[in-house]
Order: sequence, then structure tokens, then C-alpha cells
Amino acid sequence: MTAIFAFLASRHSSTITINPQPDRPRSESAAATPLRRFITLCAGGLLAAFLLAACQPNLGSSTKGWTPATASQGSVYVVTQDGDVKALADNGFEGVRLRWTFSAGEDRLVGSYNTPVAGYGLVYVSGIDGVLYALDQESGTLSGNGWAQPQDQGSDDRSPLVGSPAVDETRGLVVVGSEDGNLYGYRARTGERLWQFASEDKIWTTPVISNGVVYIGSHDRNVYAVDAETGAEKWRFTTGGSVVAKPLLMRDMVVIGSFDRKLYALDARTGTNLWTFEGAANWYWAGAVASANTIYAASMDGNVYAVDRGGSLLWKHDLGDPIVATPVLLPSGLVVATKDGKISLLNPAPGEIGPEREISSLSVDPAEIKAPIFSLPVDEGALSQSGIQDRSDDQRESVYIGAQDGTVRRIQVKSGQVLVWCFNTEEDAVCN
Amino acid sequence: MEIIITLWNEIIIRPMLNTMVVLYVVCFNNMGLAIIVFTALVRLVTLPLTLKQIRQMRAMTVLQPRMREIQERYAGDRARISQETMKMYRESSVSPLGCLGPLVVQMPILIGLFRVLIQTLFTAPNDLVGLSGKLYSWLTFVPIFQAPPLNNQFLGMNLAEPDPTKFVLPVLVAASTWLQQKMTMTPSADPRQQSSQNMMLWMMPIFLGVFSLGWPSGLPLYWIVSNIIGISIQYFITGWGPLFPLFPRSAPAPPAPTPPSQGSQDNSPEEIVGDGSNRTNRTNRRRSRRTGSERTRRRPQRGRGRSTK
Repeated sequence: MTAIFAFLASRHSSTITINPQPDRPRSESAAATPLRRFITLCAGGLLAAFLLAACQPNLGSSTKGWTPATASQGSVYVVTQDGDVKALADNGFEGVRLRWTFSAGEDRLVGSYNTPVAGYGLVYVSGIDGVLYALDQESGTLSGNGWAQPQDQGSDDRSPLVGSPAVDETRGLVVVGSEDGNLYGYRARTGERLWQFASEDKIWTTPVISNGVVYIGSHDRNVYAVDAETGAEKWRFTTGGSVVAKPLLMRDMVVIGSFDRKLYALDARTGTNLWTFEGAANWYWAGAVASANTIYAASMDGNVYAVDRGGSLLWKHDLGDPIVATPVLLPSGLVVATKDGKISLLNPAPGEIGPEREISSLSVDPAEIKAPIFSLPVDEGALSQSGIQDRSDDQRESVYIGAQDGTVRRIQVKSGQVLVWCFNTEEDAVCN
Repeated sequence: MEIIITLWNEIIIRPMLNTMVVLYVVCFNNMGLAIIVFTALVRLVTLPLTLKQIRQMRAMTVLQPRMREIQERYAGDRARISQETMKMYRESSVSPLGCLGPLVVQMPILIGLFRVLIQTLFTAPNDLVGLSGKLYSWLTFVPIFQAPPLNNQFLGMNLAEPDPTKFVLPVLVAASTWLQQKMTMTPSADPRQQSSQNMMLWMMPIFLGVFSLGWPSGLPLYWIVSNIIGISIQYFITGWGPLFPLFPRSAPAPPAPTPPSQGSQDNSPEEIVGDGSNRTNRTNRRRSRRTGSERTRRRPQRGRGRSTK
């Protein structure tokens, strides 16, 4: 590179010139000059592009968040690209409006990746600034019942909280993993820290709590089961790669994918490996979902894999683009969003049915979708083996999807997909 | 445009990125070592181009005295100067584009390497999502999918963060850039050209040093290693060059035999390794060696050249 500059400098005042007299025949040297100038210009252009590339903002780590959204009791909570937490009043087909905005200040929440969680009249938000925020659902402030709990009281340079928190309403507990490698347990109402558990690397996983056990994955390649009361380790299972996917608890089985491109089923009590599915060609980032007897795991190779409880492949469907967002299973089918902004409704019926698998699709391209898709919980019994049932509860047949262009959509999923509303969180305006 | 981006990604970025991740795994999951080995590999692959470029620049250097002579002889007649210069290049088998060609070919590789470093060093979720799509799924003999997120700690530094000392890496970047640039400088007959070279000699290291203050440490590391390798190659080809003009290595022969009447005496070691600062002395010395008939023949031409300005 240095030589390039040296050369350009040396050619700066070249002695070779264009023939100044047009009536004379152009000499060979003169004919060669435009070519040389052209090449010099190209080199200069490339050089400029190089310097521009060096100076452009993405020279640093990407801080672009994923606009994660969640819904509860007629409200939608979203962390925006600007780092604000916004509450929207969800009036279904009548529209949507902004209720309140919370700003932590100084862009402290810019770059949030996972959905807030509602509970106890609070909205829990994992802060990329290393603080767990519990905002009052009504006012959107830290006053009243709200609180904010930094993972480390003594330091301003805290590790980000990437995964969503998980709330255990039976124990009044909220847990969240941190990039500092710790899993923190807080009292859900007050924010008092109860315990912390140390893994050996960053934790990006959203924990799952069941029967007094917290299940979590870590960059250290382990899946951990941690006692929800004490924070003590119950077991660990080592995979071949980093674990960032949210674990799926399926009765007595924990199903989780890893960066080693394998899907593991572990005994929830002992951590023993029950089976391993090895069909994927890329990482598992999205968490798996399940009906009574089938597990649906989306991989970054663009495929959705359906496997039975024994780990045998039932079918796979290629959506053509990486899947980062955790899908949801509704009575109408499996809703999957690919990174390129395509939202597909898949028929979860067993057996290979080819292109018929995709019931409908809707695209928000060019916006990318990476945040987990949210839907209100559906009773497990409501899902038939095929997953298709006729239900009338509109909100329970809707998904909430945040896209990287700062928009949030509610989409009603029945026999097809109908856009209920779209809200642009950057402009606080309804969008199409 | 999309085709260009696809070609750029498939031909430059993906092969380099996968090589980088393979090296990371091979180098005991050490990103710093991987960068060093990768930089060395890239320099090795582009070595033929580098050598060609150095040889062409050397040849150009050797021809400087003759070029000066042509300038003096045909001063004012720019077309003739061009014609004679090109003739001289042709006779000496030197292409003035020969220096630039290899550089242009190397540019995409250098830019690609820069981009690959940026894409592999960072480990935020958004960065990792971008990385996954570029890994080769067929590359199974090295566990590249299991490697990310890459551990970017090296010698106590986080390679994804700027140098915490705000001093060591920028100074090394600037110093190594200056050294390499000084070694590759060509002596020039033209004072304007010489001054622009001198300006570049100082401005480039200062610019890069300042830029690298904000760069993730992995990039200055690449830059320093690349410069050190460049300096080594340059040393083995041309010696220290203008860096230590008091201890020049023996000068190479010009690329092609030149007619004795066109100043073969000028291809002396002093002039090949000189940086142009002693140009006046050399010119005087050369003039003093000329025969009387040469002086007689050239005087009217110089005079005519001045009168036409």
C-alpha cells in the first residue's frame, strides 16, 4: 500500500505529456498517455475507496439492534433502533398508537437484540449497557414499581445483556445472562440480586425456567442447568460449538441447537444426551419450538427441520435465507421469518409435501428480520398433532415482528397472513 | 451492480475469510497469530507481483539519468521528450505501467484482506450473523463453524478494540510505513516530483498513524506485519536503498543494454540508490565528463528550448 502512494507521488508530475500540437500525428508516447492516466485514475479511485472503507462507520462493531417486540394485555413493548423502549396501544384492526417512551439516555440501549418480557406489572428489558431495566408498564418509568439493576455496581464499563430475561412467576424470580459470563438471578419485584452463576464465556442465550431449574447455553459450548433458588449448577453438557439458541423444554427433555450445527436433546434432570440430530449445514441461532410430538428447529442454512421426539427427521423445508429469528407455532401453522424479511406460514403436517409446505408468505424486504417472533402463549393442548385448528381468538392468532428498519408489525395468521398494523418506531407513525 | 458485489464476495471475500478462520483454528484459536500468518500468506501469494513491481521501479530508477538528459536536451519540446522517453523505455524493455499494474492487481486483495479482518474481528450478534453466511459448509476438514465467535485477545489487547495505550500501535504503523516508503522512493530529476515524494513520505505515515488510533487493533497489527514483510522483501531486492545512502549495496545492471552515447556512465551505484538530493552534484559531474563536441552540439538545443517557453 505504501508503495502505491510512493508510486502515485512519483507519477504526480510525470514528464510524459500529451502531444500539444493536434495537427501533428500523435506519437506513440502520446497515445499511451491517456491509457496511463486512466489506469492511474483507476488506482486512485481504488485507493480512495480503500480509504473510505477504512473510515466508514462499520469499521467498528455493528451496533444495529434488531427491534425486538413483545405483547401483553393489549400493549406492545419494543426496543427501538434509537435505544428507546416504547409501549404501543394495540387496538387490532383499529390501529396502533404510541403510549409512552422510555429513554435510558446516552444511547445506552442502542443495539438491543432480544425481546422485553412483561410480568408483575413491569416490563423487563435487557440493557446492552449491562443494566436490567424493569419499567412500570403503565408509566414507562423506573419510578413506582420500576427498578434498574446493573450487573456490577462498581463499574461503568459493563458487559452487555444480549439475551432476554426470563421471569419465573412461581418464585418471583427474574434471571438474565450477561456477556461477562454470569447468569444473574434477581427478585422480580424489587431487583434485589439473589445469586449469580458463572459460566466460562459470554452468555447470549435467553434462559428458560421450569420446575425450579434454569436452563441456559453459553459461548463456552456448554448447556447448563442451574438451581433457580440458589444459582448452583445442577449439570452441564458440552456441545461442539457456542450455544446462543434459546433452549426448548419439552416435558422432561431439553432441546437446544449449537454452532456445531447439531441439535441436541438432553435429559432435563441429568443432562444426559438422549439424541443428536446432525442434518443442518449451518448454525442454530433460533430456538426450537414444539408441538406435542414434533420439534421444529430453524437453522441458519435456511432450512426448517421437523424431527420427532426420537430425533428422526420428519421433513425439512428450505426457505432460502438464514433464519435467525426464533419461529412460533400457532394453531394455523408454523410462522418462520428469514433474515431477508420474508415471513412464511408453514404447514407443520408430517411427511414431505414439497412446495405445498408453504401456505403463504409476506415480505418486509429490504428490512431484515432477526429478532425473535413473538406470539401470545397458546395452550399446548390447543395444538393438534398437525398443528392446525380453528380458533377465534384474534390476538392469539397474531404474531408480532420487529424488523431492522425500525418497524413493528402485527400480522394475523389464519389461513393466510393479514397485516393488522405496522408502526414505525423511528418516526412514531403508522406505516404500510 | 449486484453481480459485481456477488463476484467480489465470492472471489475475494469468502475465500479469504474462510482461510482466515481456518488459520484461526490451526493457530490454536489465537486471532493475533492467525492475522500474522494470514498477512504473510497474502504477501507470499502476491510476491511475484511485488517483485515485478520492485524490478520495474528499479529499472525506472536506473533510467532516471537518461530521462534527465532527454529533458535537458529537448527542453521545451514536450512532444519530443515524450517520444524520446518512450523510445528509451522500449529500448530498455521497461514499461512505465509495469510499476502500476502489479499494484492495481494487489489492490483488491489488500482491500479484501482489510474487509475480512473487519468481518472476523467483531463478535456482536449482528456481526456474527453476517459471518455465518460466508463460511463454506463443504469445508469439513477444519471445524470452522465451531470456531466463532473468534477469540480476539492477543498480547493483552482486544483486537476488536483500538489500542488502549493510544500510542504503541499507531507509532509502529507510522514508523514501519515511513521505513517502507523511504526504501521504495525513487530519485527524481524533477524538483516538483521530488517535493511531492517527500511530502508523501511524511504525510502517509502521519495519516495512517492517526487513522490507526481509531482502528480495531487487528488492523494496525496487519499493517505492521505487512510493512515488515514489505521492508524485508525490499531489502533483499534493493538493499536499504535511500534509507542508508552511505552504505549502498552494489547496483544492478540496467534492464537492457543502452547505447554508450546516451550516458551509460550515469548508471552508477550512487545514482541508483540516491534519493535525488544530490542531483545537482551528479548533474555537474556528468556535465564535466562530457566531451567538448557534446557540449557544442547540445548548447543550441537548450537555447532553443528556453526561447520557446
